[in-house]
Amino acid sequence: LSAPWDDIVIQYIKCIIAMHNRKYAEAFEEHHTMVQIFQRAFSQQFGRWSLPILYTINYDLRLLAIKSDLIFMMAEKPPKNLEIAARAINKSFSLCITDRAVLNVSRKWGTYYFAGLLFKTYFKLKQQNLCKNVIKSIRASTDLPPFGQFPRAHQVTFLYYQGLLAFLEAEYSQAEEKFVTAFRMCPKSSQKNKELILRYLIPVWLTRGILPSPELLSRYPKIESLYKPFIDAIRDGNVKKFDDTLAKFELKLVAQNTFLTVELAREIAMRVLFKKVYLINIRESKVPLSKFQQALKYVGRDVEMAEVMWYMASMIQKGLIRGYLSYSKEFLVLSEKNAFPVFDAPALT
Amino acid sequence: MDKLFIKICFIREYVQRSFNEAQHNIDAVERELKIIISSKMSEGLLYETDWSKMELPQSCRPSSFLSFNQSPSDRYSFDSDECSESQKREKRAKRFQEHERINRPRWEPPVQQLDEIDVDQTIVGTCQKLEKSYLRLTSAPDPSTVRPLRILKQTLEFLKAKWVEDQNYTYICDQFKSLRQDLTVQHIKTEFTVKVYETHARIALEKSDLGEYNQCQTQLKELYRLNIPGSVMEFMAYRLLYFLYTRNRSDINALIAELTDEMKNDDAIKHALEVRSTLATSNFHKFFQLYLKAPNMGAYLMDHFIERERIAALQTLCKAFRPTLEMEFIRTELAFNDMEECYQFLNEHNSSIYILADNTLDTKNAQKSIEACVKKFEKIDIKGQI
Repeated sequence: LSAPWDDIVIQYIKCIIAMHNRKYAEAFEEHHTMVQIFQRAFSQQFGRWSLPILYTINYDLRLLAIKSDLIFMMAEKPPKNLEIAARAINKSFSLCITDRAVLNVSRKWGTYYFAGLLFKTYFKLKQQNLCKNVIKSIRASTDLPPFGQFPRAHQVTFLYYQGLLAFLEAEYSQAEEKFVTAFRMCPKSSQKNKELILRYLIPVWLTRGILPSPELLSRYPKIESLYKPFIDAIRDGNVKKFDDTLAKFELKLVAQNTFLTVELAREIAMRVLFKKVYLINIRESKVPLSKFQQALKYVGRDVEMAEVMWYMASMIQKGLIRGYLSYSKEFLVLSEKNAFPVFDAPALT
Repeated sequence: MDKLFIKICFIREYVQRSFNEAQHNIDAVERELKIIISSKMSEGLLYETDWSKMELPQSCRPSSFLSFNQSPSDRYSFDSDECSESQKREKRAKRFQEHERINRPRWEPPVQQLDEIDVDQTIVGTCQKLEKSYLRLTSAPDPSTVRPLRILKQTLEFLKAKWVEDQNYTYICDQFKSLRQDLTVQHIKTEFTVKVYETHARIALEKSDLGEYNQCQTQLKELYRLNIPGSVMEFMAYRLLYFLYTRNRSDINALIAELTDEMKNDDAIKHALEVRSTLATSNFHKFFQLYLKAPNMGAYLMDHFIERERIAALQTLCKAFRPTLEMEFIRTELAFNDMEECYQFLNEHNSSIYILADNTLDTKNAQKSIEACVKKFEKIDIKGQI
C-alpha cells in the first residue's frame, strides 16, 4: 500500500484489535491517531470523493470517545476523550469549510455534516455555547453552496439543532420555524428523529395555544404518553389538572430541558377555562370577574379576586384575550369581535 | 491538592500514634516505622493505604511504659493546631523529656520525606494581630504577616461585632478579604472557612455588593461540594434568586435539576422555587407577596430585580385596566410600604402626572411612558447578563 494509506490501515487494525480486547481507551487513542493522519492527507491530497470516509471515521471517533469516557468515569478518572474528539471533529469541519477547490470537487460539501456532528458532541459535553462558533463560521463563509443543495440528512440535522438552540434561548417563533421545516423534511422512516423534533416542537405549540391532533400523536406513542395529559388538561381548561401533571412529570421534563416551556402553557389552559365561562354566560361581552373566580374554584383552584384580576390582566397584555378590566366594577369587558383570538399552526405534512 | 494533604496527615497521625504508644521503645519503633513507610512507598501504595486502620508497629507492644495524661484531641489535632512545624516537634520532644528519657534525636527523616512529597508547602502563620488590611499577593506570603487559625477565629468575632457597631462597609469588606486570604494561603478548608464566607456573603448582600457576594457564593459552592457543613439550603436559595435576576434559563434549569427532595422541602428553597414559578407564569399577585415574605437575606437579592418586575407588572395593569385604576390597588399589589413610596416610583418612571384627583391612575395615558421604561430594562439586561 502506498503512503499514507499504509499508516492509516495499520492504525485502523490496531484500533480494531484494541476494541476486540475491550480496551476502549486504547482503541480511542489509536483511532484518534488514525483520524489525524487521515486529516493531514485529506488537507493535502484528497478531494470530495473521500468525504464519506471522513464522515465515518469522525462518527466512529465520537462513539469510541463516549464509550471510553464511560469507562473513565467508572474508574473515577476525568473523562477527557470526548473533548479531544470534539477538537478533531472541529478540525474536519474547518478543513471542509475552508476548502478552495472548484465546487464540484470541493470539500465544502462536508460542512453541514460536520456542523451537525459538532452540535451533537457539544450538546453531549453540555457546552452548547460552543455551537455559536460553528454557526458564526458558516455565516461568515462567503462561497458556501446554498443550504438547500446539501444532502437532505445533513439539512435535517442542522435545522434540528438550530431549532434546539433557539428553543433553549426561549426564541420560540424561530424555534418553531426550524422544527417544522426539519419535521417536514425528515423521512417517515426515521421514527426516533421525528420524535425528537416533536419533543421540542409540541411544547412550543402549547405555549401558543396550538394543540397537536390526536392523529399526529397516535403515530408517536412515546410523545403521546408524555404530552397527552397536558393537552387534555388544556382542552378541558382544567388548570388544577395541568398543575398536577406538571408536578408529576417535572423530573422528566427538566431532564429534557422542556419544563420551563411547558409551564408557560398553563396560561393557555386558563384561557380555555375563561372562554368556557364566556360561552356559558351566553356570550355576553360584560362578564363579572366573580364568575371566573367561581370557575377556577370549580376545577380546584381556590384563589383571591386580586389573583383572578392579575391572570386576566396578563392575558390581555399578551393578546390572549381582547378587552379590558374595570377595577371598581370588577368586570371584564370583552371586545365585540374576536375576543378570544384563535391561533393556527402551519401544516406538518 | 487537598486530598493529598489529608492523606499525608493520616500518615503523620499514624506515626504520631505509634510514637505515643511506645515511648519505652522509641528506637525500635523508629526503625520499624521507617521500614513500613518506605516499603509502602516502593510499592506505590503510600497514599492508597488506610493509615487510620493500619496496625501499629510490633515494637509498640506495651511493656512497662509510663502512661501520661494526654487528651485525645491533642493527639490528632495537628491539622487544626495552630503551632508551627518546629513547635510541634518541640512539644513532642518535651513529652519524652518528662519521662527522663535520653534526649532523643527527633523523629525527623520520615517526616521530612513526607514534606518533600507534599508539593504544596502549607504555611502556618504567626502574626498575632486581629486586624489586617487586604493586600493582593504577588508571591508566596511571609508567615509573619499571616494570622494563624486561632487568631482568625477571634478576628471573625471581632469583625461581626464591629459591623453591628459601625456599619462601615469599606472597612469590613477589606478586613474580610484579608481574612479569606489568610485562610486560603494556609489551605484551611473547614467549617470555620464556610462560616467566614457565609458571613461575608450576607454582609455583601445587605449592602447590595453583588460582585463580592458572587465571589463568596462560588467559594461556598466548592466548599459544600467537599461536604463541609454550612447553611447549604440558605445559599442554594440565594443561588436560585440570583439566577432569576440574571434570567439565565440554562442556569435555572440546571439548578432545578440539581435539587434533591430534601432541598425541595426546605423553606428557603421552597420560597425561591415559588418566586421562580410565579415569575414564569406571570402571577404577579403572588410574586409580590413572596417578596414581602422572603426568608433570610432573600429580600436583598430580590431588591435587584424588584424594580424590573414592578415595571412589567405596571405595564400589564396599564394595558388591561380601563379607564382608571385605584392607586391603593397598585400600592398593595406591588408591595410598596406606603403611598409615598408608590408615588415616588411612578414619578421616577415619568408617570406620576397621570395620577388623577381621586387617587386613581389614568392607565391609558400612563401606558406609553411605562412601556418606554420596560424597553430600558430590556437593554440593560442584555448587557448585564453574565
